[in-house]
Amino acid sequence: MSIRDNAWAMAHALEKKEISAVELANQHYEQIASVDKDVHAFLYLDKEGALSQAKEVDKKRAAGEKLSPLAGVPLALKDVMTQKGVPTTCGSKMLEGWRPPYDSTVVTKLKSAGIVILGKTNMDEFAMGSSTENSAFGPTHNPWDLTRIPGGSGGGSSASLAAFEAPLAIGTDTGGSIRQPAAVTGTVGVKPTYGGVSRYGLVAFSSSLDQAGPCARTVLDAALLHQVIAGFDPKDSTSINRAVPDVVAAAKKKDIKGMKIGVVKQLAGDGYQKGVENKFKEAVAELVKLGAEIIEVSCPNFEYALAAYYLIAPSECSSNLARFDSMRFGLRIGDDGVKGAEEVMNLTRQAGFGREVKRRIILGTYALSSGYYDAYYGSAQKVRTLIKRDFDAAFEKCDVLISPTAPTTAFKIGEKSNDPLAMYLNDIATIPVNMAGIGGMSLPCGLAEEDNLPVGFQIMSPAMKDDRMYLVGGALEAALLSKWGKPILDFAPKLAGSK
Amino acid sequence: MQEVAGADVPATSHPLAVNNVSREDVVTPSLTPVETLSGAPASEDQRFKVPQILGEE
Repeated sequence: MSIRDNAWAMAHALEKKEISAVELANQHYEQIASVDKDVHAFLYLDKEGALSQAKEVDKKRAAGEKLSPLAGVPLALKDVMTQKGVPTTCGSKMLEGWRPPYDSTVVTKLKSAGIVILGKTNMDEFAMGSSTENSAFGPTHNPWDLTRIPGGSGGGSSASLAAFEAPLAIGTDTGGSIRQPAAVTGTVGVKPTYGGVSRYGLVAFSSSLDQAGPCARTVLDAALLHQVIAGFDPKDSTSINRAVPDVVAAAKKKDIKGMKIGVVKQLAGDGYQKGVENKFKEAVAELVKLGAEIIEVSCPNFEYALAAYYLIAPSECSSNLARFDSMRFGLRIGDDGVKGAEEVMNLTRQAGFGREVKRRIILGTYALSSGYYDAYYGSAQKVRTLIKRDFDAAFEKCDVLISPTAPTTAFKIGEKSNDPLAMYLNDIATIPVNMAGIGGMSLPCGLAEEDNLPVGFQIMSPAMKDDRMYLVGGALEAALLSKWGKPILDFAPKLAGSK
Repeated sequence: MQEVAGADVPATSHPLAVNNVSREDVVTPSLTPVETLSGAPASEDQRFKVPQILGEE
């Protein structure tokens, strides 16, 4: 039993009492103590809470109680999900020191499954960014190369997996914030169908796009975590009241003979790094060997996805972030008994929000202003319909669609931080999935020859058919593993002090 | 976008058709006043204390 094992193997070792949940949590805290000064995946460690959770699991196991499959396995939680009594900052000064009085539904489900929450992971402020450089508490570094970004916004969650600080993590994906970090860190990340996992207690950025999902080192681990957190929740009015697809069985099946897999023509070519395209093509060849039929599909309206996304997301964020008004929680600046509420609110927002958040609030406020609403937000929502129609037409011919997850491998920290448009383009292949609300997965498909950095392979499945991406992902992962002879993370340089 | 998003195209905000959601009018557990005010920058007498909202007049 090692911290480099996958969550499934850890769960087995726990079940056979080869290790206790407390020992396993402590081993991960030791790894965090050794490597996180370099990686900076975590913003907060809840050692006391985690160990008491672990102790509880050990006690139940000793008493012979029936436990859930992942009971006792540790997890890293993106700092955008509320956890009662544990600081939740969303990577912002605005919420520094805030301890939410309630658990998000995802956390409630994790706790009742006995999953041990080690701490909160770093992220771009309020999940706005593709590099985790927009965190008010400093960037996270990619464990493959500490001078590079770990993706974003959930860079902390993915980096924690790649650095073996946790075997499981929770992310949230509004335009690619689970999948793109997974791609650039050589890990697995899944954005479930919108409405598949409750948003209750997920601090809202863009409500019609935000979706929490599982992050892990293997497809099966992601499926096991998916099963824990998914399902209807009356506390989220957009939650889907249907049975959760059997993603675990799908991940284990590994038989894709006869499946029709569509390659999206528009998600390739200009702007895609050569090594990314090559690794993608090699993975497609593996799918052919496994008996899948590959079809090229065209989604002409994807061309408008990025533009529409950068109207919808800022518009909804400008409305959602209005709650940070310094009155009920979070930061308050300048309250000297003389200044009025409006002035205090202005001073607080000036000091509390970072540049990217301010940029998006300003863009969104403009797009929603009287006289512009129909032209901007209204048109963008219509583009969503067109994108959805493209997907619908493609899914008539194919069971799943595939593409590279991100156009490039991990870029250097600082390389794009002064060029928002270049940063936004990194999400070009992930955004259509959010716009249509369907499911999307990223899994590693190799190392780009130019820079020896991981490349992400994206699988997209129709709404509430999330099992299909796990089926294809599980089969592809197994084929690639036998080709490589070892997991992709074993090719990464060892971090100083790492186990 | 306006080239393709014509009057004949409806808007989309959710992948599946979802209707307005309501629930039975029954009391369920909620936060206590102490919990609700626990994150407030300032509070007084079980209420949020805010800077003055109206001017002096």
